[in-house]
Amino acid sequence: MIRINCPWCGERNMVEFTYGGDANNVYPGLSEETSEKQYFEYTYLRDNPCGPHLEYWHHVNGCRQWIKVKRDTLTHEVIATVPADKPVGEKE
Amino acid sequence: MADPAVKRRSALFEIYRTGEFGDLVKGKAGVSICERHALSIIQVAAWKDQTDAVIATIEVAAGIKPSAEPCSAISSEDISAIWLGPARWLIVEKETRDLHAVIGADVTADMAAITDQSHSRCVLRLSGPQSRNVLRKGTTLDMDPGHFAPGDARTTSLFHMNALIHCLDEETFDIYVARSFGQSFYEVIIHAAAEYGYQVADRI
Amino acid sequence: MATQSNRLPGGGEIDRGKPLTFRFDDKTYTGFQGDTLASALLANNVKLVGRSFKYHRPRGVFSAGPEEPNALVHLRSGDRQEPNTRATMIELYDGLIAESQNRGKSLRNDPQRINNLFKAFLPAGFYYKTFMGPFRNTRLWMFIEGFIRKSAGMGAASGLPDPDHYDQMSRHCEILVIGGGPAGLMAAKSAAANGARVILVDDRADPGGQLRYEQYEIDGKKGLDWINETVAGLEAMDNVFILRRTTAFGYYDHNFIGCVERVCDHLPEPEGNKPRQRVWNLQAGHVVLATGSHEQPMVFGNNDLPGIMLAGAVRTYVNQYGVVPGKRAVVFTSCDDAYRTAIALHDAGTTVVALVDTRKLDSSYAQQLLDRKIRIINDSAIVSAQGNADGVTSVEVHSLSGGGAQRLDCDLVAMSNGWAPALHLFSQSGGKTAWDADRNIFVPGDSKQAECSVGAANGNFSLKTCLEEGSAAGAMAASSTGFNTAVQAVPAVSEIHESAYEPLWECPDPAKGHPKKFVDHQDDVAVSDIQLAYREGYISVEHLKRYTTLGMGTDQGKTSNVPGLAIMAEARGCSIPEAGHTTFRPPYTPVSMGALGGAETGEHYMPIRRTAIDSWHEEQGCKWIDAGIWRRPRYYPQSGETIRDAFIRETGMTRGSVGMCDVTTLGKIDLQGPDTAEFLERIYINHWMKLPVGKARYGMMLREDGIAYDDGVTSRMSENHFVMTTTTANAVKVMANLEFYLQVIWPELRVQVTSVTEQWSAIAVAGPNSRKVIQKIVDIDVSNEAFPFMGASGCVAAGIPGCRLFRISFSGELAFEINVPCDYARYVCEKIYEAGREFDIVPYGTETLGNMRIEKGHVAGPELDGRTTADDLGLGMMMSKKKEFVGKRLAYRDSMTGENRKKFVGFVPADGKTPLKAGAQIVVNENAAPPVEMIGHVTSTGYCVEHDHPIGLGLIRGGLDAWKDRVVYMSYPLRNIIVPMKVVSPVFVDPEGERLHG
Repeated sequence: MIRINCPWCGERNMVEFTYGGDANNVYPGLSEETSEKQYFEYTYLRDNPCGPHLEYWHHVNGCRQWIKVKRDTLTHEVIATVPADKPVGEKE
Repeated sequence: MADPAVKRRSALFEIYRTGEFGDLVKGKAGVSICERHALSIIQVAAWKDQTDAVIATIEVAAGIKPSAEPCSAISSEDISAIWLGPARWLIVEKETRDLHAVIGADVTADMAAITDQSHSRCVLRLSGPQSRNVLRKGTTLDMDPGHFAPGDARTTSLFHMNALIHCLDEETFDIYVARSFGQSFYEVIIHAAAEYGYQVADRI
Repeated sequence: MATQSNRLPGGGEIDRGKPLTFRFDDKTYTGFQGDTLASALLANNVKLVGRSFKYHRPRGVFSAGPEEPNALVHLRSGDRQEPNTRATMIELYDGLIAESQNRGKSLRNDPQRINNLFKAFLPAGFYYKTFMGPFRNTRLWMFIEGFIRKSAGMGAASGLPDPDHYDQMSRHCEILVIGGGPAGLMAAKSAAANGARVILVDDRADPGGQLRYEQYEIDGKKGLDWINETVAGLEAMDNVFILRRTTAFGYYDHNFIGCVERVCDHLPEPEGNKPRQRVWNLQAGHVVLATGSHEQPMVFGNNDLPGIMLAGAVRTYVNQYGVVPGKRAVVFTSCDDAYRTAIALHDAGTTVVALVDTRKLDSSYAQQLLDRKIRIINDSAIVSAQGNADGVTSVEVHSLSGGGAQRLDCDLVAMSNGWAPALHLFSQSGGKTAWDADRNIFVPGDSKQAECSVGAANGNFSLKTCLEEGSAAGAMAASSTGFNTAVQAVPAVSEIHESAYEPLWECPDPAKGHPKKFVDHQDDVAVSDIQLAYREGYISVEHLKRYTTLGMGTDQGKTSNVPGLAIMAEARGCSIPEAGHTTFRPPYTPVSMGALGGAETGEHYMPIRRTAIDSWHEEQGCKWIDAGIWRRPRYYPQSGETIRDAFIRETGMTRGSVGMCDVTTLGKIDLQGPDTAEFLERIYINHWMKLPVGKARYGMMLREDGIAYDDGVTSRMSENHFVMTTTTANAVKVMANLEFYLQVIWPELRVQVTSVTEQWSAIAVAGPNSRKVIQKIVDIDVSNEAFPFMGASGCVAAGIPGCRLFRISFSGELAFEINVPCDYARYVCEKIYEAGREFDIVPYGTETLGNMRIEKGHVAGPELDGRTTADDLGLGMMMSKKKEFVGKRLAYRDSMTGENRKKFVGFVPADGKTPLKAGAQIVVNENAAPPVEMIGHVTSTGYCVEHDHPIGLGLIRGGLDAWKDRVVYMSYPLRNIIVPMKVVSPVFVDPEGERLHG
């Protein structure tokens, strides 16, 4: 069972969280200037890396905050966690 | 407040039975269970830039000063302020006044959103030497004393239900679950407590 | 009653003052407190305990621990019967009942032992070859298969519900020590002394491991005394928690360890409310693996006869249980360890005929054997054993250097081919094993998680090293988890240095393949099967395993994997590490499904959500239905009514006068803040900025990909305060989604969202008389002028302040929805029912709720199926052209628009009578030959009470524009049903919407 270090609540079991997808994706923004292609890429295109991956998790059975988790998809190591509106440094 | 002749009817109204049950050890129950009912439960969600002002204002308005420290709860005899998330608390007391109005009078809409949740929870108080073991059966949290200490309040998944657990003293916990889960929650708690012997006390 | 003819007069850890009576098959025996079922059977000279999986060969007790492949029994009887239970792990209790498995009426005269004669026809891969062969799929094969299934097998489940209950618990610690032998105890002692929280897990009734059966002295005391002192010392510490009778079965990510505690298995029945077994989910900072090792057998002809046992097990029975499993023993070994068995047997009065050592060297123990006049035959091996169902009678010994064959009469063979570290948990943790060529064993390689292996589990078998490694590991683990790092002093031990182990993986084969040499006793895999696998190309150990079933039994090859792969390596001419071993997977030993399920069975299977009016529905005699995890009233039958009768009556009464329905389960989300209207503009397809205070509006949300997501009514309670409703099914998801947009995408918006689903009970009151009922309840004027359609207002209801009233309608009738704080909901509900009595108000359930929305052509879950757009559902007009909103751009993609989309329509059967079926496909031609083009499907079906005919909703290519009033066919090929139906508007009642607005 993966342990995720919630930036507010500390280390918790993954049963408290739900997975929210790739956090490398940048929301294209609701604007007429945004192209259909940008929305398409945001909605459908995902990398599937073997190794560190930045992803959203929702601490739904906890503080209900969305967080960013840098997780190694090969080893499940949780490398770093930050609030969802903060950048993840390489080393934290 | 409603016509005092009309009593609030909690989620456990039909099924709550006081008495002693299960494997009592020399006639003693390892866990005592009681329902806290007819509470005022007000959620205050501050705008981030207003956090300090909201904390100070709640203290003046309601008589309890919430803490910005995550997973903490501040309690006095009558009232508790429990951390739910960043800049978000539950203020809980026995219903004796219109707490929503009391807080709303001072904490204005440009400081925080205030939501009445008084009827939204089923609250059980677990106490006794085996209370931590009952909780260990349903949560992945570290329930050891010293790791879940008086004044700590954590939201977690408890027997697959979202639950806020507030540690009052070494052996006493208030547990808040969604009202609709109340009956299932009560049933699973007494099932878990049966091997330790449990007492269901009068609701408070 | 048989006497315990093999029991020693003294010694061992059993309590001779507490005799216990038990039954095995048809006979009653006695044993003592402290026995296992295996030791008690051996004490009574019961050698035959089971029949093998495939050939039904006689088998006896093989080991004394969790690795047992042979002695599997049915434990207990009736609904508590448990199959495949290892007799070596069952603690004896008074009244225990056990039965042998995989046999005919009698274990001794099992008719299927005849399989043994046909073993040439039952080689590895037999089953695959047969069903892929010429007889496959024939009746003959089906017929024969029945026999094969019956004859090949294990124990049987009782087929009855288990009367006991099970439980789960989780616990955290800094240091988890798995295994309570000398290394584990020393590690626990050392870690605990440094202040860390320690959990010690041991699979026996009491910790001690090898010190319970070896005869070492520690600190000048008996080993057992040292154990008892150490355990007592640990138990006295607050920071130590000891789990006895507990097996760590799985090592998972992030140092999460699954264990199962056999809480009451040593008792006839669980005491009081105690669970039979409990799964422990342990979360550790650091794990010390002190899991010990498994002795490996010798592979020679007929090595599976009863009476041929592991040497360590024989020593255990003698020293720990005071049982000598035979009168004349031959010890056969490739290491020094088994010399201690010869000594123990001799000292217990058994005749040790000889010790056969494959090595040329003189063992460190040689002198002790010579002192006892035990003959040592060096450089030799047993090549075959002779015997019958009563056990071994003699062995044939050959010199490994050629010549010198001799036959030794015996009734017990104690064999040892060295010890293999128990690497199971280490391997499960992600660590790779390494081959230690000096010691001829696999040992733990580099760690992948915070763990370390100590003692025998690390390949270090000497007691002194076990204690030293344990002490060091405990201190290291404490320091790595933030505690002190003091190392406990290691006590002095009595132990002699042992000479090197030289494994002999397969004994010589003078008679070329006869008799069979068994590698995996439980699965009846012999050396010849491995060689066959090699010849047929299954040379990888993973293929070998699956082709021969080597190591696939309940013992998972604890005594067969290493010899099996060594024999394969030999066949391939490669080294053992080159051949490699198969992956170790959880569980280490079998775990009952009951324990894994824990308490989550029956009424506790999953939590149920109940509305605050639940008890009232029950009193009204409703039938329930699961709506997600909510339970909701489905219908309220009157005497003799079917569900169809009931919903037609409820629909008719509601549309004719008034009905009431509990709609609490809809999601309710409170939104506050100055940017709330702007936020709603972004997430809904329609407009919200100008919604007046005191008004409600229907809204629809799309997913990012433009597909319709959820719908509901949102009301403006004040300038910056809205209340949103969602569908019951999506309530949780929508809430999480709104939080995502607010926390991640638009953190600049000042909006707070809170779920208030649990705060409010909602009761819909619908029908032409609903206003009259509601006016009796609330304190506000609900006339059409004062409170028109889509009105929203606070109110006092039945004297309860702080309620809310909405004039919204799902049924298409004049309707209201009243929201009441839950603790007052039942009271208000009763008041509404009372107020409606003069109008014959009916409570209605989800069946009628659904039927009325189908009559009205409202979309719901079956239409919002993750494939439809707002436009497909006839709601395209709602999509604002003037603003951007979530999903808009992709909703206008070419593929999401155009004439070929399947669009929302209604259906009526052409004959006006035949019911329609949801899920049925729509085709154009009644008699077309397959493949038939499907142009749509029926999503929802109901019965239009006003027009008295069945109706349906669905999606059809081109929609009404293409098909209005034309006949298409509903095809339900599974039942061979084809029904002509007319395509009509999806709104069957009040198409102008006059009732809502009336």
